[in-house]
Amino acid sequence: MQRLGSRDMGAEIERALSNPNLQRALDNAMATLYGRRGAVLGSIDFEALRRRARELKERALARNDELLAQVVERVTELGGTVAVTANAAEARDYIAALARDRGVRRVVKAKSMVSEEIHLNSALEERGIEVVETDLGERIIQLAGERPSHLIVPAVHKTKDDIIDLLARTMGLADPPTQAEDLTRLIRVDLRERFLTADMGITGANFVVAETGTLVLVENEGNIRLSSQLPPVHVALTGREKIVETLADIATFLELLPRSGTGQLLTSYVSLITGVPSTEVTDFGRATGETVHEREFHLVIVDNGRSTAAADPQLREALYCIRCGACLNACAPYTRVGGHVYGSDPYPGASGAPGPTSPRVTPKPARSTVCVPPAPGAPRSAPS
Amino acid sequence: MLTDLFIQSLRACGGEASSVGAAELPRALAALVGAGGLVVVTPELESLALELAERGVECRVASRLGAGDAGLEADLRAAEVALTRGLVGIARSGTVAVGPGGGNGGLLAALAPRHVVLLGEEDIVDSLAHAMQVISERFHGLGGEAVFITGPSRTADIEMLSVVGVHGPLGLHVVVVRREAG
Repeated sequence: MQRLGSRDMGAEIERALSNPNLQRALDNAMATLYGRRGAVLGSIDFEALRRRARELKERALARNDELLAQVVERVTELGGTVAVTANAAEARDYIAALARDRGVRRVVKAKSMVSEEIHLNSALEERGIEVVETDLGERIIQLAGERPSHLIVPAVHKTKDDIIDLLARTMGLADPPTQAEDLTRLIRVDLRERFLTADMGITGANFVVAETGTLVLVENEGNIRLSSQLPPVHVALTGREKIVETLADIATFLELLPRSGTGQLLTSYVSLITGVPSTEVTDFGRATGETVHEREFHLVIVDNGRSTAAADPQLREALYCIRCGACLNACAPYTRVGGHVYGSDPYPGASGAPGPTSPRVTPKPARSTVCVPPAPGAPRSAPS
Repeated sequence: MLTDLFIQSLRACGGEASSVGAAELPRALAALVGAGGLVVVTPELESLALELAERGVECRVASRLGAGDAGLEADLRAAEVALTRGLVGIARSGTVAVGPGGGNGGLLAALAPRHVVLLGEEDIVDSLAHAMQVISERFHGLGGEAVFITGPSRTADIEMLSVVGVHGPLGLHVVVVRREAG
């Protein structure tokens, strides 16, 4: 709270409004995302799907304790390890200790908002571990020393020219490419070798299925597939509200999330990871009956205020969110100032309302987004 | 026709698709991947790999072992084309699912610049819900990974400009295999 109180929100809004690059980036991106979503919603009964998804999330959240126990049981049976952590420090410490025990020097990391929430990167870096963000947008903001400003487009606040300058400076390029294709290829080549030599991969999870112990990960770039499958240790980090009942439920969420988030019928990749794949050991071609796990898998589930939020009828709403980011693209304040002004660390908009300590309610997202009434306990006047 | 819709949907999202009779498959595949550098094939397609090799295609069967295996790492670095089998296709979105079932098909297919998937015509279904049911039955009690793949790797992280080929394959080609009598 001191952190929020020490910032002058009015001045930040002014700065955002008078930053022509930011305004140009937001104008372009918000209109594009909003338009693409609109173009694909017509082909389905969106409202019916949305009601169905909400019912599924409500049912799952009401049984969260039971489903969590089921996830622990299933993943453990399938050769994985589950750590259920109460707060950010516990989750950070678990992953840092695992990295230390396995002698990890380099981590490749896919986009994970929970990792931003618990400040994982700095915790690993303080211990001398190199953390490489591999989602293109996340890599851009990592090189810039910034934080994500949108749920699904983390570098949405930057123009192409900003990115060209950034890559020239941080990668030491005298003559940087100017086309988006070439900039992307540059990152592909730079990160490929890091993928191949990483000791640990860290991902988030969009959904966790209690029935099967399956993680569902939604992406377009392919960095989640590489981060989860390539290194010898995979750590998936997620919030306990991501648990749903069955694999069949996932079909409903997948009809909604890509359409609403990016205007795609499906993203390029949806990974369903169930425990650890194992391979039968053969001895000169003969099966031995033994199996070995192809890699090590740890699922770290964080509470960090979610149980408290679940008990509050207003805050609970945020736990039903599937994080498509579409509300931001339609939000009058967000589309003018971008995500950094919210300081909601890291979720801009209404889904950032519940905080990690009970009943911490971050005042900015709760008040500065017109669609959300102030939560009980939230300050009624602006911190200045 | 689900096959026609599948091919049309896949092309709409930047993938390539073709349809070929089972008897014609080795010849058609050799033409498709022949001059494109090392083709790495998942163990379940071993006999097809032999046929491709007979036709002069530089071809290798992927190691069955997991992370840390030197043979696997060499394959991963050298593969220009990953050839794997698809489990189920979704006509409406042009999606193909690969895995689970051990081996490193998923990993190979994520790393190689081109991914070619063989999909039985009879394995194309109409909806995501139906495909999820197929996967669910496969998963029953098993560990492993399945990936729904819809077109090539892509991003719009720079000014919303659509760019194909970020970390995953730059090209995706699904070969729908028609089962023919005789």
